Amino acid sequence: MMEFSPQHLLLWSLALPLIGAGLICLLNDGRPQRARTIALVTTLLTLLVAGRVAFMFPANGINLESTGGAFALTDASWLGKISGLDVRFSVGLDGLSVWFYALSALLSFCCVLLSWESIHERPATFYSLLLMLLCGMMGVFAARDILLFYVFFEFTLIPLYFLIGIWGHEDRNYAATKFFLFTLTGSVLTFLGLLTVVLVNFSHTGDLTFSIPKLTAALGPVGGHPMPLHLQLWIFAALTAGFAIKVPLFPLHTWLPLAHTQAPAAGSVLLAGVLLKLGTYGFARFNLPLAPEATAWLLPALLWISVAGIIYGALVALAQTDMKRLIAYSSVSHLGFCMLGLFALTPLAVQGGMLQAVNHGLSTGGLFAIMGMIHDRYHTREISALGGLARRTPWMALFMVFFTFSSIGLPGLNGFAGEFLLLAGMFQRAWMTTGPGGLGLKVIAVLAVSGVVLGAWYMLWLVQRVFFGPLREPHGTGHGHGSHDELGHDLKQPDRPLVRDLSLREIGALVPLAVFIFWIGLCPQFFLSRMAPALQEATQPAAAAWQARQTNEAADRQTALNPRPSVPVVAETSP
Amino acid sequence: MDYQQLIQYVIGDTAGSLRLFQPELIVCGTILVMLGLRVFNLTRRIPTWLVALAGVGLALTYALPWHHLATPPVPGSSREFFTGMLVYDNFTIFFRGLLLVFAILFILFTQVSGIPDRDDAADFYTLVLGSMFGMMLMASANHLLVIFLAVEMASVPSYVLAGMLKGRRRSSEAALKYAVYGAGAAGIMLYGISLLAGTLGSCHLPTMAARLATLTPPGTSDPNLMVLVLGGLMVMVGLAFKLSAVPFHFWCPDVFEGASAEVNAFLSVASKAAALALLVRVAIGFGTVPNRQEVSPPPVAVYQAIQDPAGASDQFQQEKSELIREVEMSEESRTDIEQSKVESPNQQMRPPDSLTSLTVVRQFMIYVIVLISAITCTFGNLAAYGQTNIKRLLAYSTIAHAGYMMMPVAAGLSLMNSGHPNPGAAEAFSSLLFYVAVYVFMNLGAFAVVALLRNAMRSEEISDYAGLIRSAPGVTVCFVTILFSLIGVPPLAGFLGKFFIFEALIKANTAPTIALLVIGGLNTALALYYYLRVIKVMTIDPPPADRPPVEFSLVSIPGAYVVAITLPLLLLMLDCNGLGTWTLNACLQLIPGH
Repeated sequence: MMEFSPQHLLLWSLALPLIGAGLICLLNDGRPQRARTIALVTTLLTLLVAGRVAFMFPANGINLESTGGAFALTDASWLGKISGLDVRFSVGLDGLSVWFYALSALLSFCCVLLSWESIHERPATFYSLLLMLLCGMMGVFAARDILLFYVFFEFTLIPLYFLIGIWGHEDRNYAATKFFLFTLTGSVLTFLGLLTVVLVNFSHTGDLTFSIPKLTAALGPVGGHPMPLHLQLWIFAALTAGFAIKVPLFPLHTWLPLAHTQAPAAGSVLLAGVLLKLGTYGFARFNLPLAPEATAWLLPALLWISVAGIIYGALVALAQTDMKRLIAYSSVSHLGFCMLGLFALTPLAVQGGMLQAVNHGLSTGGLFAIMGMIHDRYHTREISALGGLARRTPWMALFMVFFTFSSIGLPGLNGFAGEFLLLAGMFQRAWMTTGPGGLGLKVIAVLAVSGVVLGAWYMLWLVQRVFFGPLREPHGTGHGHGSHDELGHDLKQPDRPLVRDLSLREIGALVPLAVFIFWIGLCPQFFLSRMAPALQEATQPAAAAWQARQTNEAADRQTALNPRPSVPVVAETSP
Repeated sequence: MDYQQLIQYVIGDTAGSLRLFQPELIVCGTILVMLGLRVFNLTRRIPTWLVALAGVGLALTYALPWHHLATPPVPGSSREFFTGMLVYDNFTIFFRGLLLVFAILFILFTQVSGIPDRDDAADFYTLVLGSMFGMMLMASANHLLVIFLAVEMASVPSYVLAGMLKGRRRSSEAALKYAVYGAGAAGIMLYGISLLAGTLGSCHLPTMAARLATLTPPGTSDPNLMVLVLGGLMVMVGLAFKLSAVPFHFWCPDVFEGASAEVNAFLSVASKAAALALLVRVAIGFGTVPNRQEVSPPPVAVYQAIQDPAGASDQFQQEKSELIREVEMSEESRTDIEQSKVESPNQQMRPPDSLTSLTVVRQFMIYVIVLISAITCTFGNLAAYGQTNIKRLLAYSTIAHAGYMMMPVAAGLSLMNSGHPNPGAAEAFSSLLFYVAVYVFMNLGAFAVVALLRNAMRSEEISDYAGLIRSAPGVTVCFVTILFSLIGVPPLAGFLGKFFIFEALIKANTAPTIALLVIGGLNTALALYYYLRVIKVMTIDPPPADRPPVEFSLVSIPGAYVVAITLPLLLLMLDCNGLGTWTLNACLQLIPGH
């Protein structure tokens, strides 16, 4: 593999899932064994290739100028010849996308292991859809061209719609439809926004390019054609329509608990782990660099929305009786943290926010995986139906506690690194801001901290009720699940537990997540250093715009206090 | 010019024109051959569909679309023939080619699905080809009378086709409704034509545009203005009827439900494509004065020599085009001035300072088209929500798509008004052609699946499609792909079509087109729900217990046909440059100044 260049590896990582999906369809014999083996091998290969690309990424995240601003860049003409339109097949990674790209491959691998025995119905279709979803997810992060980005962005919807709709739980029908309607409606508006950006650039430079870096450069403050504020606000609103639904930001989150709860385990893991990050990624990739002044103008409102999501998600999570729903609402709360970090616009906060987005993928992915394992065993998601599972399944309890700790930000694990950075950055922003706006930001920062406490509360409460205390199992499930007995572990023990603990396969699905949770927790610098320069570049214009607003406001206040401040100044300096 | 010269001119013109008219003549010939077979009772021995297929194939080889469309047109190579009744340019070639390709696919489709049966086949294909002939005329019409004749030529066979399922009350009802509506619309259109012709003194579109340009100088109110507006609106009624645009769409759902899916495919694709071509012809015809006779084009040079041995027609041509040229000069000089003013690209989006009378005409058409397309699109999508019959649902989807496809016409006219006609406006019109080409496959595919499922399960109700993916996975995947493409989800071809249309609307950047853009965007979201419902029923819902098993394998002739229609939708995203170039080349000549 050494002789492959990163360009080739990146292209292979995009092609492998499609090849795998094709193979599954071709070799389908109606039984799960063949389909899931092909899926496992494909995702493993993809993971290896993607991991190799990610670790070849330059450690300081810079020195990318020689390769056109992106690592492993492949740039080929695609829909180029029509009337000056320059749509390119352009894929490459930068600091913003590299970890999300790797995370997609990692979680998909875990998902195949996770679905190994729980998918009986039409396994070939399931695994080929899963692989198509993987291709879409990796592609959307790798795309460097707006049209290509949008194609992959929408392409993730179709497989997930079927994953939820066919293999979901009792209310899957409604959940799948709602999910699809919400996200596609939003993304149509996003697309119109992106198209407007392209044509605004065209009207300035006469170059009908769809390249994301070129557009960001041309329309940024440095490029010389920043858009006027009112246009920026419109574009910001259009882009936000799609991304805010994906994130989801507070008032637009209603599709999420439903989709999470009803999706099969693999669907929930990928939805929480990767697809929600598309929103965060979209904000960082498009909204902040393309509409910095609009971001600065809307900043207090955006921060309030984020913090409202944090608190609201946490409070609603506390009231849940359904485990998956609880974790779904915790996602609303956690994504609020990510967005808070992103909108705080200090380097610390932004790094923390993006790291937290990766963290959330790992820890919530793990939590949803365990929920799936519980569901496989007991066929229930009710918290009240379960209790004391630590006695039955000590390994599962261990992992559950571990992921919970990661999720609530225990020092030494990944959640701490992310939350600490972003809250520190938020406080920095709040205390750097003077004047009447500063007070609001301080309130936001303090409220956000309370979100951390609430997060610990609902997560520990869940673990305590389900895994500790007296043993409580739903009736009629004592015999375990048919498929688990087939494997026939520990058959020689006469008094074997009726519900088995984690099998090696399930442990294999969780361990990779745990490794990265430790790794990020103990050595966040390894991950941060690779994304810091790209993040800095993406958020710098917005931060500068915010700073300029602050200065102007301060000057205005000065003018208001002091009706004629300029006259003495002129008088002093003129001689 | 004396009588002798006139005779010579007419002979020369006709001889040359027939050469350009070959594909249409071949179609006519095929119709005669089929009728002959019927008369001599040979239809039992010679399958009619083969005759029809051979005729259409021959016509397509004579239409030579790929020969002309691959390279940009030579300036001025567009020309009128049959004394200005028809016009021959790349736009004609494109639509003629598209309609003939569709005819081939359609004939194959009817063979696969088995309607018409052997007895009806001769009548059926005669009617189809007759209608096709009218549609080809619609795409090349240059004269209001030809427009009327072409519309009728295309419509009358359609009325009969709608009632083709003999002995079915619904089918007869559909045919009657269609015929009554059609007759009404045709009457109104003819009245509009007579108003316009009476006021402007001609039916020849370029002459009319030239008269319009002189008749109503901007700023003054012409006494005939009201009559002209009324006439224009009445002509629009006829077009709207063919397009099934709201409020002249009422026939569409009833006819689609009553007629067979095969006829629906014909009506929703070919008839719609031709109506759109005609809309472009009328919009451009009234909105611009062409500079056709300026340069004598190489491909027609030979024809010129035949037609014009002693320069006989020069005088005639001159007389005819004197007026045109005059106006053209003023128009040209205006554009020149404007273009010299527009030097920095920053100011390209700026509206023109002065309005000439043709700009006013274009503005009027923009408002009418924007209004109709916005209402059509929204209404079609909303009305589709409650449908339980798949053909009715697709009828409303067709109405909505007619709305989408009218949008780029408004964008193109706006771009001409804002002072960069080429290639901006041509690109806008080419996005329409692109969408129509994609639409051929989407709707033909959808109706093919409906027809083939009808054969397999004897039902056209959406609820009967429940859980179809279990018993017929292949065809369901194809149908789902087609429906996703109709929604416009990437990476399917429907997305590219919408993408180019929206791009044209944004480029036009005037208040009406931006409003249209927002409406188009919202409608894409609106349309989601009802398509998704069909997808959901087929893939997620459990199959009803009492349904007999559906036999439909992809490894069969019907299966292969469905796959062949669906594949282009998937593959177009890989490389649409070819189609993009063709559509652009087809539109470049429409706009004067090329």
